[in-house]
Formats: sequence, structure tokens, C-alpha cells
Amino acid sequence: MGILSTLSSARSGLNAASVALDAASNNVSNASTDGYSRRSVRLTSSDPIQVGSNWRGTGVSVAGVDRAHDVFVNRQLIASAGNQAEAESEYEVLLLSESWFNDVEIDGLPTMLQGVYDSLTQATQDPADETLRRAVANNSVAFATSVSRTAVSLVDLQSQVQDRMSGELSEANQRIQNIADLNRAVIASQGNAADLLDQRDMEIGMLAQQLGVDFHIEDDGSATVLLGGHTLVNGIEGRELSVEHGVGESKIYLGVDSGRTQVSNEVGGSLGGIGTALSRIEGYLDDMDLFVEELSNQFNDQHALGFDSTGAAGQEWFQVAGGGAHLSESFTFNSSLLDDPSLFAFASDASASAGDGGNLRVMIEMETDDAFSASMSGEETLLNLLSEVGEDAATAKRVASQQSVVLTDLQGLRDAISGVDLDEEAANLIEFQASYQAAAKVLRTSSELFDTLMQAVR
Amino acid sequence: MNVYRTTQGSMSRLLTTTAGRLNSEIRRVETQAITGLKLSRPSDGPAEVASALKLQGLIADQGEYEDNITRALSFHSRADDALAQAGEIFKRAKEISVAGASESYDGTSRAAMAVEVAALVESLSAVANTRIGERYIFSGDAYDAPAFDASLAYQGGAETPETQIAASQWTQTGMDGSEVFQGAVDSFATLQDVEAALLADDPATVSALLSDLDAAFTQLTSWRQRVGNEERMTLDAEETAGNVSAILTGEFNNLVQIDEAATYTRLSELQQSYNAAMTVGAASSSGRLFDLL
Repeated sequence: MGILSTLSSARSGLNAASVALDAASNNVSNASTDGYSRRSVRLTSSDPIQVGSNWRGTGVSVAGVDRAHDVFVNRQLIASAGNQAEAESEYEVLLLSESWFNDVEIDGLPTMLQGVYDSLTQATQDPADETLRRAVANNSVAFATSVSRTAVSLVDLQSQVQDRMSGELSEANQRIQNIADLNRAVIASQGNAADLLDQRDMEIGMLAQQLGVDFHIEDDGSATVLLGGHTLVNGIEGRELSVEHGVGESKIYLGVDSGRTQVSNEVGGSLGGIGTALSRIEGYLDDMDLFVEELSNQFNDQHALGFDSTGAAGQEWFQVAGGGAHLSESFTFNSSLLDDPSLFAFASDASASAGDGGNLRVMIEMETDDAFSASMSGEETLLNLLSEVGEDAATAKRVASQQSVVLTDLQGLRDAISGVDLDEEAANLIEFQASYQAAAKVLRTSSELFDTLMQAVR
Repeated sequence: MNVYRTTQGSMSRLLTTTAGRLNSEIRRVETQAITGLKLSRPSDGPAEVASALKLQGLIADQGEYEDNITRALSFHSRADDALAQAGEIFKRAKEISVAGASESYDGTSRAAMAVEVAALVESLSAVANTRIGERYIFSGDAYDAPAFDASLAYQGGAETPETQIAASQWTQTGMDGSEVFQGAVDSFATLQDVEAALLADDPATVSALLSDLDAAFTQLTSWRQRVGNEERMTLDAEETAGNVSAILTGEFNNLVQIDEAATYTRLSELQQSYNAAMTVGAASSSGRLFDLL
């Protein structure tokens, strides 16, 4: 082996160690970068040459810089991120709606309805007493106001949720376009640009959190992103999503060649979670509407059978003005009865003796009358609704917590494969520093040998 | 085979997740310790919250019943006093009548007795128009007006007002004066007949009216017993309401209120776990190989 070939071999060693040190340095620099995949240098011995009957080595070559990556784990992680975001978003919204039914710390709807019946019970002391009648009126106003305020607040919450959906969808559309653009760059780099691939994985991950998407990698390196069975990104083409908000529901559409197709049922991620919460709130409002209708009928029908202090039949107790999307929004107590409590028709006879509480007695019995849907009383109906709201929020919280554990495990697995371990990188630095120093020493020794030879020839 | 790497990111995430979970649990237990309640939102226990509210409603019902009972008892007491007074009036009328029926008194004496009996009629009229506040207790359900007018005609209502004292129990808080004073025996008429017989100096008629006086007295006593029965029933209801309220309150507290010792112990455990997690987290970020280079 000649001195020149020794010099060449040493130079390849220097180069390989330098590239490896560069990779380790890059890894250390990006140790905390989200979505970064660790790089590792793949070294191979250079092609040997045959000298006579012997094969002689020619040093080391850098076969490539690999990006530590596992597509299966990445797909699992992205799917899990979507599921976690879906459960978390649903819980966030339901937690807000639950506040309006929080009967633990404040007087909620069941307690306030109880207040109406309690004041009716108290009125039996003296059905003609104005103070007791006024208490009935005040409790009824408080209850009706609380019902309508709850309904209006839930409708407002729905509106805010729909605004958030619009904002998130706009971001999702931008991400879809970003992924298509990154696909274009990846195809141009023939799939070798690790940084571009990391960026694209990040974009897909964030899109998954918003929409719950899946993806697969094509032969040309591009990523095809799918929403259910629909393609969102195909090569360098990205499709646009749009949303239409209605009363208590939002429909998400995907633009296709022939127009658009509804994909609401396929949407997961935070948008899916928000959509689910939106429909749950709509369900609560529907339940409240039915309750308001049945309660109004119950009170108004019975009150109409009684007689007030002038001998006139009872007026409407509760009223529903209508006009809004939900009856419960405009649920009120008849202001005439509030202004003049003598109009309460507690008597069962038109002669209306002061102490005639015949109709009042029947109204009190309505408290336990199973006249509402599912053979429940009014109070039971409200308690049932409260349980439903609490159960929905508790379930969403439980699912979010479970998904969080799964996501953390998968993030740990991804870190184990693609993450940067600083101890490992420090060891690599020591190893390649030693390699570099050794190659440099070989280079110096070869150079001295070469100088010695030159002086001998001179 | 992949080497399992412990990255900065995974360590940080583990620390953040653990701290987050512990913080959330600490906040939940702190809220319990501050409020004294196990449940602060429906989602903390939907079924428990519904049960607690149901119990709360039942407790409130008992409160209303107790309030009504207090008022009903004051009526019973007032009615009992009034009927006792009426009884005394008839006892006195009987004494006068026994004397008036005796041949040992003359017309002048009977005329004086008649004056006293007339006064008793006035007294009975006043008793029959007894009030609690503005409410006439013998006017039936028309209790906003006197039961009897100046001519002793009943002008009250025919129905008896009732107040609810338990879920399915009501007690009378008013009486039909026409039945009490003018039922099988007309108390006013009996006294007026005695007065007339005394004025007429007719001891035989006075004597004959003694049995009517006894009947009127018995009638009033009977009504007084009915009031007593109502009062006893109301007192029983009061005791029941108190007992039920205590039992329901106990059940409510079991459902809703915290076990303070267990809560503070749990809080202490969680705070120690949190401190340990932070200490381990801080230690894991040092002592890396890079520190040795």
C-alpha cells in the first residue's frame, strides 16, 4: 500500500468523522424541536482495490444520513393525537355547558322549581294572603328566568362554538395547502429532504388534531391525506373544506370536482369533538323545550280550572313567546300575575271565598304527578337532564384522560425511535471526535513518511 | 433492534403530564377541603348529584311543612281557647238556669238573671267571631269577614280551610261556625230562649231548657275534642317532619359532605407526590454525560 493511498484513506476517515460530528451536532441542536427526527450517519467501507493477489481497503464512505422514523408508529401517534383532541375538545365545551346546570354550588333549575312548589305549599296557610301569593309569584319568576337564561346561554355557547369551528376550519384549510406544498418540495427532493419530511409530519399531526385524518406515503415520497374515505391531499393537490352553520348543528363539506360533499360524520379531531358537543347541547335544549312545553301545559291547564279572587278563571301561569330557535329561550312567568297576585286562581269555586284553596291543593299535587315524558314529574325531568349533562361531561373527561395516556405512551415510543437522547449524542460525539483525531494522526504520520521519503530522494 | 431512548422531550413530557395530573387532583381535593363538599359539579358524580338534589328538595319540603305546622298549631291553640271560653259561658248559663228554674226566686231575680244571660249571648257572639290576626277562625273558608253578624246569622263559608302539614296530610285551619254554634243545637237560640224564659218569669220553661243547655255544651265540647285531635295529629306531623328532616339531612351530608380527615390526608399525600415529582424531574435534567465533557 502506498503512502498516497494511506493519505487518501485517512482523508476519508476525517470526512466521515466530520459528517458524523455534524449529524450529532444537528441532533443536539434539535433535541427540543417538536417533530424532529434524529439523524444518524450510515458509514460503509470504501470499495477495496486489488493489488496483485491482495485486496486493499481504501477508507470509509458516507453511505447516507438516515432519518430515524417509523411510519407505523407515526400513523398510530397521529391517529391518537386526533382521538385525544376530539375527546378533549368535547370535554372543554361540555364543561362550559355543565356550568349552566351546576346545581351543586348554586340554586339550579330543579332547586328553583322546588321553590315554586314550596311557595305553593306555604300558600295553603292562607290562600288569600297577599304576601304568600307574592312569594309564589316571585319564585315562579325566578324559575322561569333561570330556565330562559340557561337556554339563552346555551344558545350563545353554541354560537361561540360555531365561531371556533369556522376558525379551526380555516386553519385546517391552510394546513391542507401547506401539506400539498411540502409534498411538492419532497417530490422535487426525491424524498431525501429529512427536514421537509419532519415539517410535513408536523403539519399532518396538527391537521389530525383538528380533523382526525389518516395518511399514507406514496412511492414518489408524497403523503396522501385522508378524511374517512375522502382524499384531502393527493400529491400536490389539496382540497378545501367549508362549513355551514345551522341551528344547533354545523355541516362540514369537502370541495370536490362536481361541487361538494358532506363529510361531517367523518370529521374527528377537535372539530369532531366540538361538533359532538354542539349536538349534545342541542339535545339539552330540545329536552328543555319539551320540559317547558309540558310544564306550561300542566300549570296553565290546572290554573285555568281555578278561580281568582274576582271569580274569574285562572290566566296562563307560564308563557312561551316563541320566535327564537328554542321555546325555552322565551319562557316567562305571566307578568299579570306578578303585578297582581290576587289573580292567582287558587279557589275551586267562582264564589271565591278568601280561604278557598281547592285548586291550590290540586296544583301542589302536580309536584309528584308523573305527567311529563317517560312518566316523570317535572322535578324528576330536570334532575334527569342534570344527570345527563353531568354524565356526558364525565364520560368526555374519562375518554380524554384515557386518550391522553395512550398519546403519552405513543409519544414515548416515537421518542424512543426518533427522539434525541443527549447521552447517546454525547457518546457519539466522543466516538467520532476520537475517530477524527485518529484519522488526523494517520494523516500526519503519512505526511511525515512522505516528507522522509522526499528528503531521502533529494 | 431499537435502543430505547430517554429523550429530553420524553422526560419533559412525563414531568409535565405527571405534574398536570397531580395538580388537577390537588385542585379537586383543595376545592373539596375549602367547600366541604365532595361534589362541586354534576360531572363529579351525576347520579350522586341527582340524589343529593332530590334529598335537598325533600328536606326543603319538610321545612315548608314545619312552617305550616307552626301556623296550624297557633290556630288550634286559638280555637281551643275559644271553645273553652264558649264552654265556660254555657257552664255559667247552666248555673243561672238552674237557679232560675228554682221556685225560690221571684220575677225580679229572674229579670236580673236574664240580663246576665243576655251578656252571655254577647260573649258567645264575640267568641264565635274570634280572630287570629285578620282571620276569623269560625268563618270557614270565608275567613276575611266575621262569622256572625249582629243578628247572629252565619255569614261565613261552608268549606273548611286546610293547610298541608305532610306529603299527603292536611289539617283544618278554620271551622264552619254554623256547625260549631248552630249545628244540631243552636247555641245562640238556646241562650236567647233561656233569656226569654227568665224575662217571662217562667221557671218551668227555664227548667225545660236545661237539657238544651247541656246539649249545646256537649256540642261545643265535641268540637273542642275535634280541635284537640287535629292538634295532636299536627304535633305528630311536626315530630315526623323533624325526624324525617334529620334522616334526610344525614343522608344528604353523607352524599355531599367530605370526610375531613380523609380529605386532608389525601391532600397531604398529593402534595408530597407533587414535590417528589418535581425533585426527580430536576435531578433527571442534570447529571447527563454532557456535563462530564
